[in-house]
Amino acid sequence: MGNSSLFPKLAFQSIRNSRKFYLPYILALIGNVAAVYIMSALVSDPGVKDIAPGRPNAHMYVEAFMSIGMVIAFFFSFIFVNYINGFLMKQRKKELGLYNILGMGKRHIALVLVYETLYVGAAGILGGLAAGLVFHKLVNLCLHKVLFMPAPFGFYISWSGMILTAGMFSGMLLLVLLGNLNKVRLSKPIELLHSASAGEREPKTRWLMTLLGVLALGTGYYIAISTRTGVDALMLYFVAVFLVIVGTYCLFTAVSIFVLKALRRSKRFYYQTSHFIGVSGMLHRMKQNAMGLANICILCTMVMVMLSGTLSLYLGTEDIVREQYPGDVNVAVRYFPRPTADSGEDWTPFDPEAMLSLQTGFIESQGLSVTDVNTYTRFGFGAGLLKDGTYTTDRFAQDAAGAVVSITCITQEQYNKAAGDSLSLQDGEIAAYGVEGDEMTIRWVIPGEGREVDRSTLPIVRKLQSNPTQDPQIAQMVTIVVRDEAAVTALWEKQAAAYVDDWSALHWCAAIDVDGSEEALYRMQSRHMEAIEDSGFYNGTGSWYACSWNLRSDGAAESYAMAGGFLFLGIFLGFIFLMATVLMIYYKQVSEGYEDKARFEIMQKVGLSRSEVKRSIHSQILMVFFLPIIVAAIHIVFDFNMVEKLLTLLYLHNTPLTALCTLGTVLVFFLVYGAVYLLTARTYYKIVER
Amino acid sequence: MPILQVSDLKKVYTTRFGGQQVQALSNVSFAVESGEYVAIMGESGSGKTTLLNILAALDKPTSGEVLLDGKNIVAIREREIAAFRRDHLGFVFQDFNLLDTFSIQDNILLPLVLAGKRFPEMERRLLPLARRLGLQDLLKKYPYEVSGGQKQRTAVARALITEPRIVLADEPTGALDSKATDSLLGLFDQVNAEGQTILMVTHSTKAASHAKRVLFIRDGEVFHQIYKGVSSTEEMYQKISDTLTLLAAGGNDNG
Repeated sequence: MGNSSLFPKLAFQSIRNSRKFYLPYILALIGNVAAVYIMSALVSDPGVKDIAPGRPNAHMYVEAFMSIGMVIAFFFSFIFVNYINGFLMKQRKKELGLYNILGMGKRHIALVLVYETLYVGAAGILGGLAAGLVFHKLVNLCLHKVLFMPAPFGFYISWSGMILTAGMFSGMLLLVLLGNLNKVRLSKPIELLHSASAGEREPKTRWLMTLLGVLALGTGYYIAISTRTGVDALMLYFVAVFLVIVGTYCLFTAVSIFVLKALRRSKRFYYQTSHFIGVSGMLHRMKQNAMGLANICILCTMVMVMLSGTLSLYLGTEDIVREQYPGDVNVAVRYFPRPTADSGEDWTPFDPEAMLSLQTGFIESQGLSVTDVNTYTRFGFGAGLLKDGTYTTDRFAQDAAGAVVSITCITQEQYNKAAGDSLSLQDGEIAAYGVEGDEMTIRWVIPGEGREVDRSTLPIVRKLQSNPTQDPQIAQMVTIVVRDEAAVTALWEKQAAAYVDDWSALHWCAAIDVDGSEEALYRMQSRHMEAIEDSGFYNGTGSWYACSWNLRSDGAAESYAMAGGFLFLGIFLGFIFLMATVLMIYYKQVSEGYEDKARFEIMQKVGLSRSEVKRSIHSQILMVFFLPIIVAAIHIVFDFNMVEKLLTLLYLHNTPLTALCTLGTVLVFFLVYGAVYLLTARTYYKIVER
Repeated sequence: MPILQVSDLKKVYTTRFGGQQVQALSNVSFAVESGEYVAIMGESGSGKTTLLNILAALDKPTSGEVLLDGKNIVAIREREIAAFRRDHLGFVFQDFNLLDTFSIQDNILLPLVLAGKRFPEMERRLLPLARRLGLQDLLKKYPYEVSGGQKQRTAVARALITEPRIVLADEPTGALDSKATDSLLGLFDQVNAEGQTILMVTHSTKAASHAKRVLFIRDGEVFHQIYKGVSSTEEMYQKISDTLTLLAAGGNDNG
């Protein structure tokens, strides 16, 4: 053992001999390293800082998303590398045991392992950084593309990103190596040699786990489908995700065995050729693979949720921008039509006409022409839904049916404009979204006192299928469309009478379309910011308490930076997760292939024909393979409601779009998954049939 | 008519490299009558495993024919071979070949399930057989929970449950200790006494001494055979030993 080059050589040989296992491992490392490097490079890339000049928030979104993505990708890589390492060590135990028995000390085996890690690490990290350098440019181009920004020039190398990535992954591989060395130190050679042939025990039915799984999954699903509002979805999302993850693990480890055993107890079903081999084979496989399958299932679900969510958000950004910023310039004022306790002596009513002419006058004074003006008045207030289907302003009334309802009141002019409809209401009539029945009754009750001061019964002439206002869904939403601004104000008065000192504000909005280039609008915006420094700017507009002034292009840039950053992160992490899924499947197929080989040889001897063997293998592999993604698809179906509600918090209210994106993602995922299946199944059959 | 008729069986393997030919069986002919208990003996490499594989329809001879009940199994089409094997032949292997994912009961029932029999029929056959082989208390257990002898008895039960025309046993005592060997051979005697035809390949003199007839194979040919006749198992054991000594010494056929 004096020859010091023996161990590097042995290590190299063993990697080469089992390249079937090591090559995918190294490729996975390369992929993960490249991904982490690219994200770290994007964070520090000066090009990203200029991604949207003049909008400081835009590049912050990108940077924040990439930092989060980097951390997630790294942690994920860690879990993943551990998984593959566990598999490799299991396969190699015999070889290591043999070394030990042939006279190599544990110290020497450790050396071989150290060299192996060195080779794998060097190949993975250097290869990953190289791939990262090459693809960084491409990714950067894509990023600018999704953000609708002109492509940057030049080639950027982030040295700090490289050092950070290399350091993180070296540390990770070192930890894995230490774990392996510890395992070797604790093992006995004879165990290493025989560990492959340990007896197969039948899995036990775990009642508690089964029950827990069914409960967790049921509760998770229930939360997901019963969530009504975006805020609820946000608060409960991680609870639901946690429950579904727990449920998934239990489903694969315990519930599956419970079901299979039940099938086995049914003699008529069990003792049929295909069921007989299938059920017992699955029982065995589930015991061995439950965790792996659950992991794959959860990964698939995450990828699909991430991709479909970010994709629909991105594709819906245009709508969101149009909805939030209907005009090139958008002025919104919140005001009370009557003085409140806080109003000073000099209170005068808000004058919309004066405000509008002030704003258009300012725009025209900057040399730009106003082409179109639309103004709307609306207001919203909270109410409780009573068991008899009527609404009360006493939100916390004893017999309120449950959720607090947010009622928004808009004019038919605004509705027709936004929805492209031609609603024509009479006085007193309404069109409503989110109300049951043919009329809507609102009891104007003074909260706390319980005294009903008035009651409005509004006949509903049209039920709206989708919500015409696209506010974040923080509560159950009801929107009523009334004839005109006078009707809005009339409802406001009733509300004010009930709520005494706790009125809701009226919103007056003006969407002003301006003829001018983007630069000209920007110049005007800065002038406007200077102008309002002058306290006399708003003189003559009356009393109001908040006024906002926004350019649509500003909002669009920010929305796209956010949605694009999200989408980008989704695709990036989706790519990593998908790679992990593919590799896990590959390793599973290979390891199962070796185990199944012996089993199917026996069956052939006892009188199962080759074609029957093939069919049986095929159906089992298909089942094991597609079980995770089918369960993942079911998760997605239940999760859809929650994702949709979450997206409303980001102003996306386009259910068909979200549904389409989800469906598309699931379909694409099934296709990729199927392709992976075909590829890995070939490896499996080669092993089994050899 | 003999139950099994083997005529002029020849098997030549061609090595993968260089096309060198190795003759495993040069010319084997023999017949097995219904109810017989035949052992085939020979050293490693004598061709006995090749012979058994051909009899089991796991391998095809280069020339010659194997008639089971007058039907040439060499000519059976690939698609029907599996069904033929499970309907007409029973197998007992040296290393048991039980499936660790099945209980003892399911291992025994495997051929019937593969044949598509109904469960009541399976049960009807299983219970008396399990009792005969002393397996009735082990049916719910798994292969890793029982001893080697019990595993082999399970394999015998699996071979017998299809009521095969002939049981082919390949070194059935090879992996058993002496007590389990005695028990298994006793079982074979009993099964044979009940009319089951058995063909066993072995190089254990003890195992062969239980057979009614022993065929010796050397260099791919049937070299010699001994009938038990009325001799006791001990006398048979002596005869076989003597023959083996003679074979090892390279003597000629003067039996």
